[in-house]
Amino acid sequence: MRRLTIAAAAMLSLSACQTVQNTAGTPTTYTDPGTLGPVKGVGIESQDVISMTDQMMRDMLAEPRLGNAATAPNVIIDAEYFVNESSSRINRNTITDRLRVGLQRAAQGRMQFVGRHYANMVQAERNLKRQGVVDQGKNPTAQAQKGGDYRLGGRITSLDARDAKSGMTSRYTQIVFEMADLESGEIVWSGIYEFSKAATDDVIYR
Amino acid sequence: MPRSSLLARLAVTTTLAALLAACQTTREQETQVKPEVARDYLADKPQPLKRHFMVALTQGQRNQVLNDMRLGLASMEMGETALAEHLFDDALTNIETVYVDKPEAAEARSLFAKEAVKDFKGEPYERAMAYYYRGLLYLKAGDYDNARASFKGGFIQDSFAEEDQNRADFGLLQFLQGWASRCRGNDVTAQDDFKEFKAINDHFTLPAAGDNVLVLAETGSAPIKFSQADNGGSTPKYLKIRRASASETARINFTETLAPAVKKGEKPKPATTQHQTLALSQLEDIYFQASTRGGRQFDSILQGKADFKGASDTVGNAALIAAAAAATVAANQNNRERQRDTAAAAGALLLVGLMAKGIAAATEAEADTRYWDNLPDRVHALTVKLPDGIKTLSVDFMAADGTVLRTREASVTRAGPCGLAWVRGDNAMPGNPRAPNSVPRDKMYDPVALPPPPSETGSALPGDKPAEYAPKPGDQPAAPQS
Repeated sequence: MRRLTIAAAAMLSLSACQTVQNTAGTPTTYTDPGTLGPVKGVGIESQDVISMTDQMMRDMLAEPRLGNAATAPNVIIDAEYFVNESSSRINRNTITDRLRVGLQRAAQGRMQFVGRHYANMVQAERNLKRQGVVDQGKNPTAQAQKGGDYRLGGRITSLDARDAKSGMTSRYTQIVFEMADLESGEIVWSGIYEFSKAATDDVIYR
Repeated sequence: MPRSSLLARLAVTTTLAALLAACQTTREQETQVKPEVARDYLADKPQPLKRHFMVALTQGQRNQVLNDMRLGLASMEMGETALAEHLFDDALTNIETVYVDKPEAAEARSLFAKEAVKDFKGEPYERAMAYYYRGLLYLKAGDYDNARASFKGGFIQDSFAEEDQNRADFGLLQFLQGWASRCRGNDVTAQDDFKEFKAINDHFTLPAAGDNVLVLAETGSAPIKFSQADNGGSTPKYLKIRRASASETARINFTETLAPAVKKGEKPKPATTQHQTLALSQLEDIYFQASTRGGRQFDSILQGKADFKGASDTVGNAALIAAAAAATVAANQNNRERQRDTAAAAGALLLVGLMAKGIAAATEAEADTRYWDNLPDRVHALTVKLPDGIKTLSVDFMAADGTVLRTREASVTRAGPCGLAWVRGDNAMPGNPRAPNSVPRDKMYDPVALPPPPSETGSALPGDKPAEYAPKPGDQPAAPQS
């Protein structure tokens, strides 16, 4: 009995001294960006970006004025008018780039994409061609860069709540996508993606 | 019981007690890092901060957020913007990570480990300030969306306060949300933000219509954390905050060049200069934010630890008194058999007493007092309309009686429609490479050794000749082979 007591005390004392530091580190592993990753919070994460852009892409192509027009419309999809008013810091290009790439691949010519974010690059090359510094290339010359028929706009907003007693934090995030007619201002297509996340941090941080 | 056996048991008991009392987790210690790893890590770090980054490397994950915050701020002041952005991003990622079932967190809750073994995330005022600085970096870069998101994220951190009246009252961050919205051209949101700010701080003047530069001047030193028991007791030692510096104010001076209007046919008139001095108003009191939070939920854990510590100590005292009494009885016994039994009982009681005392001594009911030591005490601000030609402002920092304590220069950074001038009254360079209380007290001022430069042999490649075959001083170079 006494030996048992001593052994228990020794284990107790050693457990108090144990180290939990992960000095060895964790090897790099590929994770599926479409699923919940090992580091979690309540903000916008990779799986949200992937599912929202996939959903918006399908929805946009189903709109006849965009995905089934007699003449393929020129669309501009970038982050210039895509506003982040939420409490999540995010590079908005992450969303609009994926949407543009996905759409371009799926549209198969039903829409034409204008790279307005490359306007300076294009203009610089056009200037060099017209100055005779470089030749005209193989493509036919254009009067001007393409104008857009429709342009993406949108807004990310969030509502945050916290229960001071339980320490639970929740964030409702709403992302609105809209395509505006660049002549009339009419919004020809809208899409919304929303999600809410809640988490409670360990009591040691409350 | 043989005397030797009794002595052996006593020795075991004493060892156990000593083990418990001297117990210190290795999480609190700095680790050894291979010189080549340290050299790679330090290669792109600014020279004045190399020792600080070396400490950050050796202190690891436990103090990562703390080191990111203080070195991020120091880098920001030095103009190392990209490094500061990286460090604050890293800090915020860790702050936003929700800790669930983490062994490090479980250890901090355990009886025999200090709260300070946990990974540092800071108290709400420190987390809010990390968002504040990240937001300023976004403002400098003209990314007003993410600036506002950062300020909003910091404001949410303040909602942790236990006391209702002090919850979500970080006016600085609410004001900056409005400023960022305004710079983005989002006037509706800006109006909403400023309306909410006014509900918190009615004294500060909102930006006038043409204002295009925000001036922020930070004064004083960081609030200091310490642990102290309530009502003169000894445990538990709760987290307390005290102010470290006296009140200061600030004003800006600049000279504006005014070109007089010239009518048609008139000769151009020479430009005139106009000197202006504008006072800044206090926008936030960081000490107030730090000290008005109220209790923490972790305090109940500290209370539990303290109760256990007290109970163990009482049991230990009672057992030791009983052991002494039993030993006295044993000494006065005439019957050898009874004497032996009583002595054995005294030994057992001594064992229990020492163990209980040892457990009580090893129970850690003390709050974590690591803190962000290069934060300011107060933030003063002003919005003003400045022509693009004004690139710098002269900022006077003054004592409460108006005496000018020092004058510094603030650069006006313009990356979008709005400019930002941010300046500190005190240098943001941390004096000690180690953050306060980030390691056990006896290690706080240990010298920090930087890795030696790679030696000739250290940079040898596989297949190179061993060092003993290397040419020695005075050797003649080998003649080229034909």
